[in-house]
Amino acid sequence: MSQHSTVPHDTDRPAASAATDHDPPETAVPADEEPVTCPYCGQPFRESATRALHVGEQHADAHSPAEGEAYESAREAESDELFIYHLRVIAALGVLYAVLVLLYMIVLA
Amino acid sequence: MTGSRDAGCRTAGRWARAAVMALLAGCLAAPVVAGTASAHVGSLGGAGTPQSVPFWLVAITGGGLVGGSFLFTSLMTDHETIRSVNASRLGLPSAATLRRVARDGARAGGVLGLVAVLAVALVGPAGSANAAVLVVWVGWWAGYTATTYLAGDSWPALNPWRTLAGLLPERGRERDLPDLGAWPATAALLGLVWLEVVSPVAADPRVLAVVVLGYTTVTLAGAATFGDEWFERVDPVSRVFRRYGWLAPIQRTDDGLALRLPGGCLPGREAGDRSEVAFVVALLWVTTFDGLVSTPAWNGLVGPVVEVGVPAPLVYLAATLLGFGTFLGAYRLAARYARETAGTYVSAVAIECRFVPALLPIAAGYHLAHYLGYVVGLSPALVAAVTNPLSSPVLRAVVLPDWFGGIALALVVLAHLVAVWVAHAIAFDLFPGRLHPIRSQYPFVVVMVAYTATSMWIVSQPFARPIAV
Repeated sequence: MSQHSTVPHDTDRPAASAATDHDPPETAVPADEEPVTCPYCGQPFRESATRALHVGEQHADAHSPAEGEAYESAREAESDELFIYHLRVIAALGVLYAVLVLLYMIVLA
Repeated sequence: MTGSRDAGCRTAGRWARAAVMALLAGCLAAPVVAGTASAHVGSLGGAGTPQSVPFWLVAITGGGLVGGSFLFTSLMTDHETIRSVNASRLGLPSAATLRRVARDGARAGGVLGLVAVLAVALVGPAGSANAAVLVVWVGWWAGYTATTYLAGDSWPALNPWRTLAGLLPERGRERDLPDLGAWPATAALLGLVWLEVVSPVAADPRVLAVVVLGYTTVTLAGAATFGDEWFERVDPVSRVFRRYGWLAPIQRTDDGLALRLPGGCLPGREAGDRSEVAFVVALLWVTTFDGLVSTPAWNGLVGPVVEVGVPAPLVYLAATLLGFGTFLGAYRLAARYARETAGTYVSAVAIECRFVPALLPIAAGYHLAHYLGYVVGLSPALVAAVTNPLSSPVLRAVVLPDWFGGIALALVVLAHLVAVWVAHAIAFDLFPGRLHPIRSQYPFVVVMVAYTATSMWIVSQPFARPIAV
């Protein structure tokens, strides 16, 4: 466990990850749900994978090795999902293109 | 005395000797420089009829000139004067001085402009060719507004009401504004646009003068009571320009000005609360409404209602509020659904506040599409009226080519593309990972696609004079 993990707020975030300097967003958790929270800023998340992504992105220089591994595996899993997602995006672009071309062909015929 | 006169004589004698020596030196140097001198004389061929001057005379003249200049300088014997000549300098003013001069110039220009507009509106020729009408609507509301999002927000410096408010005598402690957020500014913006649509303020200089005087009274009274906070929070005009300024490439930073990509700093901005969200949505709605009321379809819709006997201003007021409510409702609904699609606990209000800067490129693009042809078309009339404000010139307009309408459509699409990019950047800033940010944008995309289609339809409609107003 690195010593930084206990003092998350006095570490400077790297410039690359701190794209903008907004405060953590306001959150609203339904009363009957039990969220997982970020150990550094207290932000609640629906899934632990989302929290792992958040910790890896926002608290990159403060997190523990275990959290680093959790981030890597969450990112890995997301990459697989993203690949499928991109296939769908390409299909949707193709459909959009085809529909527009067809419409033009019908209208201009 | 005698001593100094003796010294004077001795000095004079030395100078005379020196002068003679200089002349002699000039003569001796003559053969050496003769070739060059003739070349130089020859190069002045165009200056007049060439006369043949012997080389030695040219050389002696050169030497004589140097000797003579020495004799002239020797007439100046005052230490102080010699030092003062060498000490004279021309310095560039410091950046602070330049900034002060620019600021004071802008303030004076703003106040003079306001006074001139009022004067010309009151005593100038009647009709929409009046210089004041053209300056306010073509020069200021169409042209100047475009500079606030295309260049940068210069209104705090130019704002004549702010300058005038600064000149008001201090009245002890300024009162704190009641905490109403941006709601008063939102209401005032909707009210001003409603007034612009239903009254002849855009065509009748006298009505324009009354409206400007009314705005001046309210603004100065507000600024006198609440201080500079009035312009920060209540004044709708300052707020419009400040929000458009978020989009501009020139941004004020702690150490001067910075050049950014247009819209590049929008992801770094956010609305403070729901009232500020409402103001940006109102800004988007009024630009749309401005175009909507001049479509034939609008007239077809409003005409029967007015014929039934409902007063037209009331119909327009209801339409203004209804449209604003629809836009705000759609945006809020989208934010609430974004919370679901992104699978996040971030509150809907926080999502509204963070995503609202993405609406600004759309409002600006729509403003530009709506007014570009107007500014270009009426610029000759504006110039003619401003250079001759008290006569009644013929309203000349540039006839725009057919492809100009295509530019307007392209600007609307371009603005939406910038907005999509800004929303994408905001989403990736707000939500972790890569899939959650993308999914968070689904509801906004649906709303935006509907809005793009609607606004393109409005822009492509032929202009129809709004009926019954």
